[in-house]
Amino acid sequence: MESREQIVSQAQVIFREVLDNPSLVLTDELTAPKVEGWDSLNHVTLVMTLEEHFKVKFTTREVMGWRNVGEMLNCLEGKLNK
Amino acid sequence: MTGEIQAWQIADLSLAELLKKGKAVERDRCNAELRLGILGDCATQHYTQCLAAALKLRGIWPDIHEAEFDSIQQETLDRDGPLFRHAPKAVVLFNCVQKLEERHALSKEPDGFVQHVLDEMQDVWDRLLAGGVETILQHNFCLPMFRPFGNFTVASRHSLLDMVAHINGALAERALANGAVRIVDTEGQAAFFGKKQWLDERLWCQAKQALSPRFLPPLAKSVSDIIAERTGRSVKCVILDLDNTLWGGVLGDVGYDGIEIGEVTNIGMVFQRFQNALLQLKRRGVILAICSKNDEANVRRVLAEHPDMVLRESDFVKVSANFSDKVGNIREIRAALNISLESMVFIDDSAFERDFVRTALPELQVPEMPEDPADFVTALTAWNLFETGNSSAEDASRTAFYQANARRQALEEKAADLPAYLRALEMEADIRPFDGFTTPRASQLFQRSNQFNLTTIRYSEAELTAIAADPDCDTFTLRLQDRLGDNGIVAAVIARAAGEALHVDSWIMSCRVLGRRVEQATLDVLARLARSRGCKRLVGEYRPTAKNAMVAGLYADLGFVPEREEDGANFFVLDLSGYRRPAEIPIDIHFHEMQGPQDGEPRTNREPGSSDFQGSPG
Repeated sequence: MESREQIVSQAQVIFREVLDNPSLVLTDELTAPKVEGWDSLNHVTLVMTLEEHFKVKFTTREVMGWRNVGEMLNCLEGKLNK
Repeated sequence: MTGEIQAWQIADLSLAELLKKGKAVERDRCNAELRLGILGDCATQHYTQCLAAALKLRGIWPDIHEAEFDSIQQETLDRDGPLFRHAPKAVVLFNCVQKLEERHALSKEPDGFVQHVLDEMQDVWDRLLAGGVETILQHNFCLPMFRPFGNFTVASRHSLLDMVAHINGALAERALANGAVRIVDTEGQAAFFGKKQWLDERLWCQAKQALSPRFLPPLAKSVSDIIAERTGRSVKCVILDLDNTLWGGVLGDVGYDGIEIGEVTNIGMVFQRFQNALLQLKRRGVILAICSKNDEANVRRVLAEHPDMVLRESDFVKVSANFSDKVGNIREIRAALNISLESMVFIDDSAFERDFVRTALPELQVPEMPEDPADFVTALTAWNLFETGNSSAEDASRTAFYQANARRQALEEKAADLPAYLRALEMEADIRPFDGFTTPRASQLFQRSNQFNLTTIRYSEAELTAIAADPDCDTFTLRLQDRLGDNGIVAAVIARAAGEALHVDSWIMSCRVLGRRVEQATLDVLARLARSRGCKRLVGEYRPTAKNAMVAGLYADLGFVPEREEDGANFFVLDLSGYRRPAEIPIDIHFHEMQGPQDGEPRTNREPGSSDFQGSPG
């Protein structure tokens, strides 16, 4: 059982690395247009890296559906704590 | 090379590491530049970043125009558009199988599909080459995995799999015939890493990514290998350790019959397979040398007599087995072969030796060998160390050329005076125009030679063929034989007539034959060709590069007079009225006609009828 805080802190490391932005802070309301370098391609890398790190797999529909970081983390949390 | 990263390492980097290291390279660390175009029918942003990083890490600074998504046709059709305005010397064409699958689904005439795709790609090549592009890097297609006919898919002419296999085969053939087009083996890489990992339907659907980005570093590395090879950088020699590299065990401890090689043990099998792979390299023209801390007599006995050795003494150009340090030995091997450290790879199972050699000789590639020798061949595959652009009949004989050279050097050291030694060699030069037989080797010289290369123009094989057919041009290769063996084709020359002058456009010679008066013989051939055209002057051109200082004084040494400097090139003139063949050139020259499958009328490098033609001495 991973807590939301543990998930967020691990995900934040991945976001910072992939987007090459060492001071990025993940919040639920955060969206791609607000972050420099978060384009569709980096988005793919983010999803892939999260999958590898957390040993989960997101479906195409899930990835399409996220409107912000909070929804992405909810989805991830749901899979981890199933 | 820019210091801390060696070329082989690029394939092992993660996507993030590669991009980070690429960004850190400063422009002044690069000694070459490349104007590059990247066109794809898939998303190319990450690909472009990775390729740029890989090139920078090898000292090539790219100036890239990345086309809009899926606009290969539009950009190559628009002669005034952004691609041609960028004036790229090289263009990458990244066509992907996903796009092919989608087009195949929509195609109304499956029978003509293969031909249609090929014609369209050929048109793109033609447009790029007509627009001044010198090198096209064409990705082949990853063979699709879906099996609509089950196992029978491989047999059905109607399966997309079969069609893509045919397209790949035809692309390779056409690229070879063209010469300016090089195939990037996407299929080979995808198969190596596993297509279930390589292809990801989600990535294509979400972001039009043709492959999982985690495989971009090795893919970009292999594209950069072709580019590096086109600029004259390639691996020509592998220097090998022996104990626990070519066989199992330490020869000095376990003795002649104690080393592990062959089917006697599992690990013996592993080393046998590694030797098999090295033999394939040797046959394709990579030369092998030994650098081992061992007793030489013991090593020679294993090479000569051990029943299970695959590689024999004759497979190595040099055996350096002694107990002095490896750096000194490698320097000696390098000097004996007269090739650069950059064109050699050192393979040793010992981390200590690798580190010692890498620190002292950073230009030499020293890959980090896997702990288990069973992984050696796989590692060599992943690093793609041995890029080449063509193969010629000479490749298989290259080892013998170097071995005969070693015997010549030994003889030379003993000979009292050099002229007497050279006369005793009984050298003969066969002069042949670029034709079906000589052009492949001429093309290798044009691609690979850096040092004895007066203008360093990298003509492709197709361009050489076109030049050979130009009535204003004289082309020839020089093949040197002597009593110790055949040296093969060691020089290639292009000269262009303009009025009363014959301009030497390109003159390249293998450093294997330095000091043998081949330069004087080549000049004599040029003088004869010029006279038979009625030309009165030879014009020589020297364009300095980072590597060809060796020939800066060549024309002056041969009696040319400096004429002018223009666009960084130095021009020299030789008035033929004052030229006589030096009596002491110890080389007999024979002219031959063009042979082999060449289009058009057979031409000849006319045996010149000029009256002052002198036979060679003795």
